[in-house]
Amino acid sequence: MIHDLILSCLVFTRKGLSIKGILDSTAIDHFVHPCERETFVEILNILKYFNEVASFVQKFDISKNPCSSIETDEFSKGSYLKNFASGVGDALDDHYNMIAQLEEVYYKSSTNSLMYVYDALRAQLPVVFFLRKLIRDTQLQKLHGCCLLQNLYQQSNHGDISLERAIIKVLTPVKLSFVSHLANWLMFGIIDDEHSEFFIKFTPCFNDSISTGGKSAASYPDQSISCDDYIWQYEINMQQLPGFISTSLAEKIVFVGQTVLVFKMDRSSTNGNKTDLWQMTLCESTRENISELWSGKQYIFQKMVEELANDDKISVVHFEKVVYDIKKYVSMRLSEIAKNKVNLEHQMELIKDFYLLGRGEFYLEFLRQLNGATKGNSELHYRNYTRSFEVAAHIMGMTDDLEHFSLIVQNSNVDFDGFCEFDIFQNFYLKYIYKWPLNLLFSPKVVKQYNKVFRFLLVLRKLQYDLHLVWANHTSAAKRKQPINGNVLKMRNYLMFFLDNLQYYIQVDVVESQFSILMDTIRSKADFGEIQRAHTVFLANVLSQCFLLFDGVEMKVDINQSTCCSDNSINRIIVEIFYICGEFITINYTEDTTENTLKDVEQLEERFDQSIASLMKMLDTKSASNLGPLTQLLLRLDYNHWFSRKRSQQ
Amino acid sequence: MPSEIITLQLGQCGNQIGFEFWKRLCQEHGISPSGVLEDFATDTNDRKDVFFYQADDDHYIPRAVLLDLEPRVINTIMGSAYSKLYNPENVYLSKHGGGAGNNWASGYSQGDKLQEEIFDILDREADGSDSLEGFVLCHSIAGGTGSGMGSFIMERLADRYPKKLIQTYSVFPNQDEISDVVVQPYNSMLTLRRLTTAADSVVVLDNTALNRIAADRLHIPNPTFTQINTLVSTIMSVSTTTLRYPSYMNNNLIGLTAPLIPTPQLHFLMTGYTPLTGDPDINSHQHTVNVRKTTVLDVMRRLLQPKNMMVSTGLDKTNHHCYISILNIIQGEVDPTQVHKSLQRIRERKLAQFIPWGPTSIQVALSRSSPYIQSNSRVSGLMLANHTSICSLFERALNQYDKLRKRGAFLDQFRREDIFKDDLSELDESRDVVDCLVQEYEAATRMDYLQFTAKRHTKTYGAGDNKSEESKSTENLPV
Repeated sequence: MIHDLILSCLVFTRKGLSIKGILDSTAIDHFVHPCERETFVEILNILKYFNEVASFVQKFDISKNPCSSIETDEFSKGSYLKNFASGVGDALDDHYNMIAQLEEVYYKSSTNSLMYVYDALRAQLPVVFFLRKLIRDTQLQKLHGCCLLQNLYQQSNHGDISLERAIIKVLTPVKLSFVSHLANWLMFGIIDDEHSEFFIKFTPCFNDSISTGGKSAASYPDQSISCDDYIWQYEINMQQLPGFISTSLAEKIVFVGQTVLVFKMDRSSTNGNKTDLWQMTLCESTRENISELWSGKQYIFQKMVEELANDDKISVVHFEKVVYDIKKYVSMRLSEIAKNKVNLEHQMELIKDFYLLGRGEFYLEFLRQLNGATKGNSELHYRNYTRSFEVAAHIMGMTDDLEHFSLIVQNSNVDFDGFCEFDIFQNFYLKYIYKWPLNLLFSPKVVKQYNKVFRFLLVLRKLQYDLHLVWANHTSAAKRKQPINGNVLKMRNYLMFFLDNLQYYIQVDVVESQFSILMDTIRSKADFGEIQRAHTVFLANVLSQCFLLFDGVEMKVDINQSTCCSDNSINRIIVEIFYICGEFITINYTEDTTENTLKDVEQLEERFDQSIASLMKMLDTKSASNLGPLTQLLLRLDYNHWFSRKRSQQ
Repeated sequence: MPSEIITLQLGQCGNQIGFEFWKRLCQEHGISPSGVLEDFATDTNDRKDVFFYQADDDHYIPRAVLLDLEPRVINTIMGSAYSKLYNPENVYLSKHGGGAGNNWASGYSQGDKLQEEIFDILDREADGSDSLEGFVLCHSIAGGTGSGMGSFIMERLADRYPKKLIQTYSVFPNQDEISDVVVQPYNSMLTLRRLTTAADSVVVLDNTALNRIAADRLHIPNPTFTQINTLVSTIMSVSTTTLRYPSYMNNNLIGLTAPLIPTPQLHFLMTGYTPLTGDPDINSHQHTVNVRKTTVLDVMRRLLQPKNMMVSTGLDKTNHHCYISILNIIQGEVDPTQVHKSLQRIRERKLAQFIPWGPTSIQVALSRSSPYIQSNSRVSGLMLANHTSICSLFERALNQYDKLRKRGAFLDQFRREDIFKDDLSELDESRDVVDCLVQEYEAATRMDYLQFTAKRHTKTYGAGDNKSEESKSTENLPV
């Protein structure tokens, strides 16, 4: 009878509760002593736990149970779960072995009692409980993918040796599928992940990725949705990010894969227009391009990655080391290429020259062309701007440098009949066609931020240019003995002083200073990852020190100043002064000095004084720690203590 | 190419400093004395076209017009290695070759007589540029041709090209030595009037200071003209670097001068340069090996020291003079983060005194320098400053003029010319203009300067209409 029982133990776990009938039938009373009855029930209980675990395994065992996968819901799909189930199955093997042994023992001496079986089974109980807990966790929390791995990882450091052996068995297949995902991504930039189990995901929504938060998404020209943005649609899926991988490590992993993708890109067709087409070519891309990156080392690295699977548990240290090594190699390779092939330093100089208005003389000519183009033509058309840009490039003999840049005026609904011409500048978009493989530096977001600085500086430059024209008019009027009203002169000087010093501040204290730091990094470090980080820091610092960073809210300068919704009060003041400049310039263009204009100028002066005063007040009220840039700006503005003295007099 | 600038060099002094200036520009841009671009200089993005244009055979030709009434200096230039550089059509020598005899009036009336020929050249040159920005005039104020003919041409230019800027590099006479030109005070006074009324900005090159700097700082006991002119050409070339090289600001003449000149009258600029190493050929064996480790702060601090100024302003006993505006053009290996720190230090230590009637600061432009010229120092700087103490120069001129005028000395040679045929009112009016200028600069040291200008305008142009009309009529005389 005990043999029956043992047999049924095996069958039981594999096929179901056939033995349960024994309990119900009266047969049990004939064979089992009443004293043993309790023991028998206990054994059955233990077997019930086994069954629970085993049925979980069976559910996923497609080879034996092909139809079961159909019923499964969303969360029970995926290779991680499947591998988990097979891992649990492996762990159960111990149990089956034990029963087989038990049977053997029983053959040898049939005198063994039911108690002996019970003891043997009970010894297995902790493992079964443990497995059952893992399964319950998984099912209750609907874990799948890398989260599952994380859960197993957390349990893997177990003091109990038998449990530890079990968890290793469970972990191994799950880890295998993780490592193969990882290897695919690191080596080939491929994510074959239909159940979104990996911690890197591909989000193919083009418009969103380009204009995060921008309302004018639809008005972006089609070209900007190019294949180059493809690599930026790979992101870290924070939900699936296992805890043992830090975010920075995950970023490194994403970086490596993106680099591989960049290498897979067809360089000649960086201007390709259709994304679908692009994706197709990407899939068919030849291995040669990747081998340029790896230069024969891919087998070494692939082996390194695969060896990760051979660790008993997940060794975070080992894992980090492998990722670090690969990333180090990839980024070295990349910066080598970036430096030798595309002359990264030169590209960065171009960025500074055009996005950050380093080539002042070019933009001067651009503004002059604009001035000429719009003079007789009151109806401003956006093509004038693009055309002026090209003409200026031609005149300055800079067409070579400018082949990477093109100015696009976005069709916007803003009415052009506002009183300040520079409103239109808010629709400018300077497009930079970067050279392969700089794709990793110039994500759509980065280009967008550069454009923000660009527009700001261009408005500044435009107002400065207009004020210079006013100055020239005043000077030539004085020569003709037609003196300009003192207040007008005074106001002109204030505004010119403000703009000049704001610009000196931005160009010297911000741009040049930050740029020299960036260039030092590029020159000294060979690692592309560090260059990337330095570049991000550079841009962030330029934005914040130009007071162009807003917490979430996108600034939209509109004709209605009330819609100027930003919580950046410094920027609001600067924009206000820009408007004062704009109005002052229009006053000087339109009429001679009459009573009315003098009154207008007086009002403008009042507004200007208020703005400056509130700028200086900000230093008093706020903590000085986050106002470093403002102190720098105010040092220049208040150099001879004129504004502060004026303020104290009031 | 936009923002072209036409250079006019007038008279002996003007042509000499002009010659040095062009020599220097050629070196900086890698242009050979015959106007051919050197092989090493083909791949740069400097802006040669502001001061040069390219002939059909790709030669670079200066946008320069050389004028003189006597042939000596121009002949020297045309006999030098640089003779082929200039457009021969732009070199004008009076046919008689007799000069102006160090007489302003003679230069002025000869300018009148020759104006057609001169303006043929100037108009042609102006037509040849896409968007001419202005004229730069090199001359001395004490002689005959540079001062007299220069004055005439300045007036005509202001009439003819009212939208173009006129900047001058004006050499003021050396006060430490006795001049052989006895009528120098008259000449200076008459020229100063034109510099006040017709020019937009005047860079004052004071021979007194230049000689002192050569003697004290460069240890050249008896500096030659060439040595002094090297100093001048340095100032001229550095003050135009932001126009000639890509740069984020000050890209044209307006951008350079407008921030310096808050009111139209106050347009006389001083310069300072550091470090002064003199003739690089002489000192080369000392300096090429160890390049001086100057910092931005060193340079900016030294630029504020009077001994480095190229204008001898005399002692400011009452210590009331102040800076109206400052622009420092810094070249070399500059750590941009140091600029802010230097500004802070200078402000803390109160190294510079500023006007009380408006906001002003030290503007610092970081500029590229020529890659073809070996510099002796890591960082060098030029200061363009509008300082009220410059009026002491005019006061000195007034004193000397008054001395001479009181005695009525040497007036005969002036009376011979058309402009003084009827009376000598031209001289008196010039004195008034310069006197007003001195008062204006004095007023600019005070808090109520802006009220002063307002008052002066009502006085001069409101009630005193007769007077301004009078002066206008005299100006229009020689047409």
